[in-house]
Parts: sequence; C-alpha cells; structure tokens
Amino acid sequence: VNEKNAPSRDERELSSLMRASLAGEREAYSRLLQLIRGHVLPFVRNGLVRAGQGDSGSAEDVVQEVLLAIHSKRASYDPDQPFLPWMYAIARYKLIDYLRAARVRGQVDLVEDMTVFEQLAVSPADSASNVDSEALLGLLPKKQRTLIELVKLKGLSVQEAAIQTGFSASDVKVSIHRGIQALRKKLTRLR
Amino acid sequence: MNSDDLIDKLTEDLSPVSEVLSVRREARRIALLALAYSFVSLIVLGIPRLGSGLAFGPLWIAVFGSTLTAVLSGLSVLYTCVPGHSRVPLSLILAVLSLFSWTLALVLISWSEGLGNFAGGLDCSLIVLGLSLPPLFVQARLIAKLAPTRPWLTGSLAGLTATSLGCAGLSFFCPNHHPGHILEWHLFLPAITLGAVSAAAAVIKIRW
Repeated sequence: VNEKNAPSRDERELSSLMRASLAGEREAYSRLLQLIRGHVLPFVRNGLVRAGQGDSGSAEDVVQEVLLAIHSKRASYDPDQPFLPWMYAIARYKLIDYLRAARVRGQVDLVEDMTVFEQLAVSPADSASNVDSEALLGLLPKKQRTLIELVKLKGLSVQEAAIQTGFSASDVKVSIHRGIQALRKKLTRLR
Repeated sequence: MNSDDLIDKLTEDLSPVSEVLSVRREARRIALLALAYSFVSLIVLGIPRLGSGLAFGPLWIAVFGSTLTAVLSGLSVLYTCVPGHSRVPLSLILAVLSLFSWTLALVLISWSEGLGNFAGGLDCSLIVLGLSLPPLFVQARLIAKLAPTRPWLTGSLAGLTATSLGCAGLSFFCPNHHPGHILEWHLFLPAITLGAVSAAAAVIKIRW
C-alpha cells in the first residue's frame, strides 16, 4: 500500500525543484521550467488535437502561457501538496482559456466574412452599389481567389478544398482569411 | 520569443516568494475569521433577544447554520483557489450539505407554523448585504493572491460565504423571528444577489 501511495520519481523531483525555486534558487527554477515544458507540451498537443486546433505553433504558444502562469502564480503552490496536480490544473486552465479565445476569434472571423460576402452578394447590375463581385475577386492572387470561390461561393468545407487543391487545411484557412481582409479593403475603397 | 528564451527570462526574473503558502494555515485563519466576524456582528448589532419563546429556535438554527455554512464555503473558496487541490469536492459537498440542512430545518418549521410574516424585509436584505461587504473584500484579496481555475465557482462561493456571515450577524437583531422571513430576506435574496454579482465579477476580473 505504501509503495502504491508513494509519489512517483517525477513528482519527487519536480516538487523538490519547486521548493528550491520558491526559495529563489535560479538553477533549480530553470531545470524545473524545462521539465514542466516536457510534461505540458504533449498534454497541450493532445488537448488541441481533440479540439481540432492542432498545430505545433499553437501548442508552443499555450505552453508559454502555462510557463508564464506558473511563474506569476508560483505563490499558490503549497509545498505540502503534490506538484503534478497543481501543474496540470494550471495547464488545463490555460488550454481552456486558449481554446475559448480561439473560438471567439473564429466567430469574429466568421461574422467579418459574412459581412463581406453580404456586400459581395449585391447584384453586379445594382447600379447604386456598382460592385462587381467577379471583378473584385479577380483582383486577388490566384490561390486566395480559388480557395474563396471553393469554400465561400461553392460551399465546400475547408477539408474538401484542401484535398482538391493540395494545400493543408490551416493554409486554406489562412489564405481565405487574408483574401477576405484584402476584399474588405478593396470594398471600402470602392464605396 | 521561443520557449527556451522565455525560460531564461523567467529564471532571470525569479525572486524568492515572501510567504510560502500553507493551505492548512490559511484554512485555520479563514475558520477563525469567520467565527470572529459572526461573534463581533452579534455583539455590535445587539444582545440576543432571549425570552422570545418558541420563536427563538429558528434564530439559533439560522445563526449557527449560517456560520457553519460560511466557514465551509470559505474553505471551499480557499481550495478552489489552489489549482488541483484534492479537497475541492469534499469541501463543496460539505458546504452545500450544511446550507441544505439548516435551510430545510427552517422550511419545515415554517411549514408547521404557517406562512407567517414575509413582508417588509427589504431593509433586512440591505443590512445583510452591508454586513457581507467586509468579508467579501477579505476574500477578494485572498483570491487575487492565489490562482482560481474556475472563477465563476470561486466567485459564487465567496458571495455565499459573505452572505452567510451577514445572515448570522443580523438574525438575532431582527425583530421578525419567523423562519420564512429569515430564509427569504436574510438568506435567499442577498445570497442570490451577491452570489450572482461576485460570480460575474470573478469571471470578468480574474485574469492570470
């Protein structure tokens, strides 16, 4: 029973490094942060993949958020308590925070996209608007134009467009977003 | 900035923590503060009105019940502010159980005594809210120092703790001893108001 309840080697090492760090020992702290990074990175990657946001840049961003949070809230660690649950609770909190912000960003992008496409949907024959959507799309680089036509006008999903064009899904999303930003600027100038 | 650079920078910025957290010590402090606050507000607001006959029973239940709820939910606030703390579920269950048991006792008494006088309790609610502000402020300082991972839960528990203390302080002072009045004006209305406000404030303000 004692062996079962005994802390793991990682737990012992991390909690002893954390105690030293709370006392201000820099070497211990540097080692601790490196070890935390090693533990948290796979955890974050898994979380992002499960949420459909998995790319290595995002995982590294979240890990940095976790390191910053651990640094700023290190006084909330009780040396009588195990270290790993404390660390993973912070990592989980930061991951959820990141995903929530990403969802909001996604919604904002969607609203912006819809606004631009409502403006584009105005008939080219409408003399008051004087906006020709085909001509406007023609001003974009070929890659952006093709992807916007496939996803926004023909209604393909990002994945389908990625397969059809041979670009990665994240590349498709970024190109569409950039294309829409460019369209918005052009529309503003025309009106 | 990549993670290695960040680690170097954080290591450079490291300074010793002035007071290392001890959850046990903080828990004792919270329990003592809650008891002291209930006691002081009883003294300041008035000596218990002994001789009120049978109606005095609900007051004891309200004062001791709400003080117990305040201590337990105050401890829950502490535990929810320490990421990954193992005592969060137990403390939450105990806080809810204590609140449920004494309010149920009052509901049953109220049922057997008839509906009684529910009217005219807004003043009582305002006094409870006033008495709740100092403990809410103390908890806000504790929360800011620590790291709550569920701000809405921590905020609503802080509101419940503060209101329970206010309820304990006011219940002897108030001339209306009816359990229905105590539940409605001393507990439910201020607890729902302050719980909602402090949960919303926690969600908005807690960023770390």
